[in-house]
Amino acid sequence: MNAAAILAALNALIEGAERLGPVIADLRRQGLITVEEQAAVKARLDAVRAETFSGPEWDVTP
Amino acid sequence: MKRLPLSYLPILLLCFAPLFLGSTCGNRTLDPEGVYAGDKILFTADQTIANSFDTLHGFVSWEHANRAVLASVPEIKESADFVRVNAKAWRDAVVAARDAYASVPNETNRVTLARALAVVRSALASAIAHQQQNPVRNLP
Repeated sequence: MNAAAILAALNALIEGAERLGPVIADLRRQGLITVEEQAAVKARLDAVRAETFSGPEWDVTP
Repeated sequence: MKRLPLSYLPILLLCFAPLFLGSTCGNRTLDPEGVYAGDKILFTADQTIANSFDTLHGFVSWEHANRAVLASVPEIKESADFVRVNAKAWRDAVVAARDAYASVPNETNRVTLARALAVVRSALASAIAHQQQNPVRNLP
């Protein structure tokens, strides 16, 4: 592989990265469990913490 | 600019592959900015605890609402009563284990948390089995 081909390959890589950058960033965001999803799970855990296990459905009756 | 021959395409694809693999595999990672700060064990534990107690609540509510019809299968009430008697203790134990792991995320606390989660999962499996296998499973 000569120097010109290496340079051409590097140029192509840089150009490709520039074009694909926003797409890749979007895909990465889709792969993340978001801050909002995490907050929702934490809120559900806090609801379990606050559960009093009261109400007719929790009564043990004969 | 000089165009690259197509023979370079596999090399280019290999170069970009890691960028895509991380985002398209099913194993999602936590946004480090979230409340879990990237701790997937804690996030999964909290998800399991919340889902489990929602389901257990659903089970005792279902049994309570349909008790007359379910009277022909007494094991269902027995199982629901077992959940009623133990739910608070299970919750307290698993939340304590969760909090201990959150404070000190070492191996001992991780194992303790896993054991507490296993107890809850076992109760959950029993509740789900009763709801799905009983002869009147189409009740609301």
